[in-house]
Amino acid sequence: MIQPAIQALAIARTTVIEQIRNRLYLVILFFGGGILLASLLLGALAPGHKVRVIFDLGLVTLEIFGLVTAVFGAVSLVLDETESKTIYLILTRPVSRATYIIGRFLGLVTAVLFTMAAMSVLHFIAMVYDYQWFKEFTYGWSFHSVYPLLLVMAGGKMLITAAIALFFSLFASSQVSALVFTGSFWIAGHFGSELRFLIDRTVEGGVAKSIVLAAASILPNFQYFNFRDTYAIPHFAGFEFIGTALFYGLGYAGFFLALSTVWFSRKEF
Amino acid sequence: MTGRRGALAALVVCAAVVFWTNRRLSAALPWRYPVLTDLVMTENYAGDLGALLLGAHRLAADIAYIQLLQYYGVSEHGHSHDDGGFHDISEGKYPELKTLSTRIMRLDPFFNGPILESAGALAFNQDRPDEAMLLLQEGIQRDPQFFRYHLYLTAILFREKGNDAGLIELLLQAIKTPDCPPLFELMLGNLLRQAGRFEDAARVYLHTFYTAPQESDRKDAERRLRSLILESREAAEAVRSVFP
Repeated sequence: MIQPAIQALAIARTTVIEQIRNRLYLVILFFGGGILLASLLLGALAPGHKVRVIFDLGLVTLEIFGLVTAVFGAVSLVLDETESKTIYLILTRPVSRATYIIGRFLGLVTAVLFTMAAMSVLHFIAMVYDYQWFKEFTYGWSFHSVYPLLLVMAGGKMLITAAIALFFSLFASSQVSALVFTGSFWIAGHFGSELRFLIDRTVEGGVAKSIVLAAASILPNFQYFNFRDTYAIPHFAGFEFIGTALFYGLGYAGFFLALSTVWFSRKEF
Repeated sequence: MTGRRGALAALVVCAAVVFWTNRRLSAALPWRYPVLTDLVMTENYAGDLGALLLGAHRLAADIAYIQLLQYYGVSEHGHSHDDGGFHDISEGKYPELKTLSTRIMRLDPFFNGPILESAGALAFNQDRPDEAMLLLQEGIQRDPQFFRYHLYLTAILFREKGNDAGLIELLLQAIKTPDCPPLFELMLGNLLRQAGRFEDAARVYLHTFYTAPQESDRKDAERRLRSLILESREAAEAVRSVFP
């Protein structure tokens, strides 16, 4: 039990180093930082709600660039290694395929969370840049308790996305198709709650409704993590369910990770 | 083989976890936004939809607000507020003002500030109280707990009935909140001035002068303060007494 864990951590460490050395990763980080700073300009166009614009744009940027890092990272990790045959170097050693997948996943998630953490520092600076407006924006709510939670929830989304991206990179034949599949899950995941709401309103009949609801349940529901959009809604109950949401995220990521392991263990090179 | 069995067992356990947590979360976190079919069709509809695809209702509403400001901030005769300082927006008709405000509300019904600003502009600058009231009524329907919608609706009704005393009392309550639009503050200043309460009027103008986010509002407050000084000796004394 300890040996596979050590092996997985070693693979994770290598993955993080590979990611940070990857030119694409650095470009993404740099570009994300640039957009965050550009949010200062966009904020200036909305006097009176300046910090709100910087806050919202920053959180979306943080997530989108986290998503891009996760998707490109996952897709290039396994697909590139399979295409260049360097994967043999690892798999010919006494490393199980499950350990390889888990190690890759942990490394990828760490790299993505690092990107998001770096961008959140820039985001925070952009928000407090004009302290008077920042104070006015945070009037009546505790920014210092809410902001870290919003970041944690964004991290939850990334956990699921990285697992999905890793799965598609194993099963897709090209990088583009893996990107498209993961992107579609991302979009569909943000419609989870709305989809349920619409089904409740429009679909009549027990069986039909159950089938549609079951189909909707297969998709990940990113709205459970989308606190950046919902935290300010009066009587928002989400903060009481953070534990459940993170458990859901772990379950979903675990599901795709297990699926990846099953798929990968059957794969012949 | 053992690894694959373990993975299959993990698959079943994780599926059970997802199923259980999903049920709990979907019951605890119901959908609180208007559905996609409620979105207002404008030339920016594709953009709105794109933002929602990324799960960004708030950001979509922010961008819609900036576009509203650009629409209402530019004179229909082609120059902006910044052209030589004060420019009277009541000159234009701005027929899309309510539509663009409704667009913001449908994207994020809890972004209340712009709705108050638009309702004030519609009722008191454009003299279209009916549209302002419709906007506020939809606001109340979508976010019933936001009491200032009720307050502003009553203020518009008072204005319609010419009840200035009632309107002053309501506006005195409204300006206590930090996000009260400068338009309401300036209007309160004018009403106080008409009622002969010069000192209170000067205080309100001064507050707008120091706190309004837009330069055009600050210039407007300054202009009104100057005209108050010129009005009478009593008014000039009142203005002097409130200066720090």
